[in-house]
Amino acid sequence: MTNENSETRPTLRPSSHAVTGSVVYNHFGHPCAYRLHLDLHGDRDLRCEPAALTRYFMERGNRHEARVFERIQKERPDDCIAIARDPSLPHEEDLERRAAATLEAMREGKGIIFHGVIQSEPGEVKKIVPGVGEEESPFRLRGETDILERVDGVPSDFGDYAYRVGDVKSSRDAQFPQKMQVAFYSLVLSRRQGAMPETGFIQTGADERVDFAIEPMLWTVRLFLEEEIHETWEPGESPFHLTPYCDQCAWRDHCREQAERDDDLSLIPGCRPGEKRALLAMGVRSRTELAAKDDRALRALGKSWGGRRDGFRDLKLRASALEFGRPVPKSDPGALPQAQGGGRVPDPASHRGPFLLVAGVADGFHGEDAALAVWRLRRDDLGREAPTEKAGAVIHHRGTADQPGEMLRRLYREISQTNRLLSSRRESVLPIFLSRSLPYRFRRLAESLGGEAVAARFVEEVLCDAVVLPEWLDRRFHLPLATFDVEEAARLFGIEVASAPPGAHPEVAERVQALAADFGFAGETLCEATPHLRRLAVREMRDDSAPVWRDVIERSLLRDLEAGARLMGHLLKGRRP
Amino acid sequence: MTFDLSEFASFVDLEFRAKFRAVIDQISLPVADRVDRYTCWPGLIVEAMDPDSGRLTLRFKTNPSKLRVGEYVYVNNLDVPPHQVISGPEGVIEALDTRQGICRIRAGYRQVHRFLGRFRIGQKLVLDLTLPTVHLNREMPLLALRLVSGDLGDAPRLQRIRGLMSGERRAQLLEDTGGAPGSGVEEGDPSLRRLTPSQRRAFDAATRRDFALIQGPPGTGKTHLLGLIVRDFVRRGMKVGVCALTHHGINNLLLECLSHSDIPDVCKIGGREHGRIEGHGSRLRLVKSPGAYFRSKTIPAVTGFTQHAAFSPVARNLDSDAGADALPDRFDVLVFDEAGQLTVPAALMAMVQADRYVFAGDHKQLPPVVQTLRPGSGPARSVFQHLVEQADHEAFMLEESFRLNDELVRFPSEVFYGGRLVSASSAKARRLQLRTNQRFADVLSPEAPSQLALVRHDSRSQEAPEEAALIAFLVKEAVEGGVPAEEIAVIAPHRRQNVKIREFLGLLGFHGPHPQVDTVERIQGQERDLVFLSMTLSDRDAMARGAEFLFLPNRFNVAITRARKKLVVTASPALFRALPRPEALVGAEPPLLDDLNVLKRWYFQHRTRAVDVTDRAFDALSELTRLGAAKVSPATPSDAATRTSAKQNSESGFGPS
Repeated sequence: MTNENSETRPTLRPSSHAVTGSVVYNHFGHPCAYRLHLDLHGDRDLRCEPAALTRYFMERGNRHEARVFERIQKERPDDCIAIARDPSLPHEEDLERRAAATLEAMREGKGIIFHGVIQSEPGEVKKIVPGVGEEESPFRLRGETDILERVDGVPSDFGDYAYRVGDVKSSRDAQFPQKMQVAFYSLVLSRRQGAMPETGFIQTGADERVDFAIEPMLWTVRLFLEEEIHETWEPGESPFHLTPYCDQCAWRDHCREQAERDDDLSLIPGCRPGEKRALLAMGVRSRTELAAKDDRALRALGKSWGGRRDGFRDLKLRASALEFGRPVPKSDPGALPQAQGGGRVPDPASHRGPFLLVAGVADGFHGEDAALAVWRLRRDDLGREAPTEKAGAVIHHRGTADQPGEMLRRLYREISQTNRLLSSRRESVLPIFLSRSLPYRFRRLAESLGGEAVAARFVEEVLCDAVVLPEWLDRRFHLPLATFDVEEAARLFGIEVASAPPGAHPEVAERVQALAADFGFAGETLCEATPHLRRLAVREMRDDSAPVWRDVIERSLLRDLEAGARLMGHLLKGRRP
Repeated sequence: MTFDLSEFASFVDLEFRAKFRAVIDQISLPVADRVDRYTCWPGLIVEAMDPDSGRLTLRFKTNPSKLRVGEYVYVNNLDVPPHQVISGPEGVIEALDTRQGICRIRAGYRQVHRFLGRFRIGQKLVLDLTLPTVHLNREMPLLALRLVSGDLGDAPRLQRIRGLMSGERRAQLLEDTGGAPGSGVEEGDPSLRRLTPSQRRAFDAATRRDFALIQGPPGTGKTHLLGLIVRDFVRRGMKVGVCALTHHGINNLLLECLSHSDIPDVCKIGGREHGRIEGHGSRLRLVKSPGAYFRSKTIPAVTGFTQHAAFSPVARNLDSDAGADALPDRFDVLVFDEAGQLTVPAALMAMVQADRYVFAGDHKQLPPVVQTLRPGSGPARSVFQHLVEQADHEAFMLEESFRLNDELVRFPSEVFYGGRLVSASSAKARRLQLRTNQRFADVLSPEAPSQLALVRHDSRSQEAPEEAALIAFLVKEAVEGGVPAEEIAVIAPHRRQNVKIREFLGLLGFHGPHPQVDTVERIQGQERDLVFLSMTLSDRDAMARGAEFLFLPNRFNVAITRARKKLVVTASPALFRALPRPEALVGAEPPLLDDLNVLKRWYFQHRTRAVDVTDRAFDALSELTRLGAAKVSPATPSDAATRTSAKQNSESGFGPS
């Protein structure tokens, strides 16, 4: 591949052309056509080490897996077999050996097979996935499974029993990419045993076994194998598109180097793949070229492309913001953004009553593990520091497995009680969420707790009259931020948060270093990055009741509150309702 | 199963609050934002006026809105402040000619005086869709729920209703309930003999029991059957009430009733426009107000009304001391059409008018339109769905489709109707007749009644110009080949795509109302010989965000069952790989995945015979651009890449042929 703006890119060597469970998992975890191309055809030497936090989570996952295996072996000592890796053998040879051993174990009728390998024979892929094309027919489908479990009473080539696939994950819930991985393994297994497993399972980090039907997954698996893989042969010009998820990808250094070298358009925060392609078609190949493009031409392109009329002009301004490292005001904010429930959102500038700043961290898909911090303050209090020293600041600790909705209930009570107090003055409190994800996760939590009706009520009574700070800012400024962080946003406006970062606390640093030594990642890096540190703390809080993790979260949320209050004070300075 | 009325009360309240909020939005947004929502049409210029009749003739260049003939609008000066929009006079769009750029507005009911002297020639106006005031009324459905719960007195009728809704009470034969079957339609009657076996079973169930559910899949003649059932009731001396969600639905059924000469008189309550139902002489009476009707001592054989009209006299009586004891005895039986789109609270409002019911609908087609919950889920389900799935009543399914030919019936039958839906013998062999053989012959071939045409694009969300261009040329070729334009319909999920398609059709000389270009919601109930379905979407994020609505299987079912002879679906392959947000797929059996699998199953069935028309679609787009269409850039690199890839595919023999 070449790009007229850059030197010739390194030729990628084809890989073993094996579609593995990891390829499937990665694709459905965070879809990226270029990653798929690289996973299948790329030079393995270009892969880089996972980021520190990613390595930590991977190692946690391995330890969780080992604990699960140990438990199963204790329960069924005579019925288990582990197909161990042999590090002395070359990788491919070892896989062949393990595949043969797995087949043998299945023929013997072992109850549980750990780390079994199942794969298609050479040239067999068309029999498993008939819609696959000629180019893909040399591919092999391979799965390094966690668990193969015998199911009696289901006829197969082995006899009156068959096997089904289970995967061990450290996540709390059974997630879609995990289920796709199991479905993929099941497809391959069906060829080996002559019977399609009806179900698969995920052993979660919450120690639950989630069974699910395989058949509904197979439509998507087949489309992936028959069509999406075929499209990976020709990645096209400038095929990558950097996103925040790239941090977890093993090819990130390769893509980032290319992006920097090409001054790639995806370096602009918020640039979507379709927008980049439209700009490339117009001959705009880099940020520099975009910055030099005529506004009128960009408007015409936006209109013809079918997006927002000023979409490309906005990108240009965002690129400028990135170049200068500071916010660039938008000339026409347009209509106010809609909250998740639809409808208009109040404007803090014209709000008469108090504000309720809401900072939080929510882990789990539905926000079950949440830590919430709120600060109720009047307009005149905005711009002040250190909310814990002021009346109205409340820190709530995380919800627990027994009370998953506790944070949500507290927030709801806080808002409704405050509004009741204010009603005689015909005022109301205006909630301001300091992150995008928190209101969304709370909505999902409400739905998981009480169904759609409860979620709808939460949206109606809380979210419809709330402001989401990053969205409010986004309507007014082009921010050079890839992902929104309130502290980073405040810094862009010249505001430095006064309270000490959580990573600076000696006990925190000590604890993180101990983990770093144990799990093998760079502790210093983690201590410097509050969002990563917070993520680490949320995970550790589940297993380790040491107060230090609660401290990390509290401190980080207090910093968020301070940053949010001072930022709001700065932006609303002098503006009266 | 218990019938939890509080769940429905909560739902009514939520819906009201959401709709109220939408109303506040609409009256506080500036013009540009109202235009974005397709409810506003600015910039029309007054060309002529007749203040006596309250008619305005307006000139326009384009119509960016969803406003059509028959829509009620506020008519205001262009610079009207948003909060004053609803203070303007109301009119109805009487005529619309896009080729001439002429729109005619007639003053609405009792609005003529408001037109007088308000407008002048050359004035620039803005039209805004009027607000649905009746749906803002929360009190009536809540009162109906309270009434049915027994809180206001527990009359036997209310106990029966609760029993039916909970499933504890089952349908009973009319003799058992004391109602004599009498002499309805005679056995030898030709209209009875013409019924198919499934229609006959449904007819017998409806006329011999006190409660019946009739499921009418697409094209099975449900309204025709209902007309016959009503005729039977009338011949037995029963007074029949006919209820549906929309006035259009009520009018259709009343028209069917009027086709039977032995139904002596029919009355329609309410509704601002009556369209085809007018002109039936002395047999038809139109009554504007429910009060006037219910005060009258004369009870026609058949009366049509909405649930609000049905409940308003009951609500008035509840205010008096009579309470639940004053339930009316005006009707012997209620026949509900469109019951698959009627919510439970809405149905209950009408059910208090009688002791016997026939519900006709299809819970596999469009569910009730709601704002706060996922359509068809929880208390947002239709009364038909509730009675079939929650209360577990037997539904008599009409099994012969007079619309769909033997190919077109296959997929919906298999996926939605348990394999029971078949093509009626009169429809089975129906095929499109085309005289010519031009560049889209492979797509329009009559030999493939259900055809997938692939257009490779990505990052398209509400508009896909390449698909729109393709469809415009397909329509042109079909019309040149002998298919009348009025026998063609185009369906797209987004109004923006519809606007684009109409724009391109205009460039090719199609300016009138045909072919009809619309969304699925507006096309339900209609049929054409040839239907084009432009799926439009390919942007992954847009599909994930909109998955709950866009990929509802019921919508897809309606979209693919409008055609009598041929259906052409244009789509990008990316559409069929759509997945919802990851959070919606957590857990053991996420329902959204099942929804998407319906689309994927359809794709797998049609993939091998699909035609890749990517190159031709882009050529069509270029042609239309040259013709002076909207300034659309012909190709992006990904498009070029996919076009090259598509070409390579076809050369290598790989991929869909």
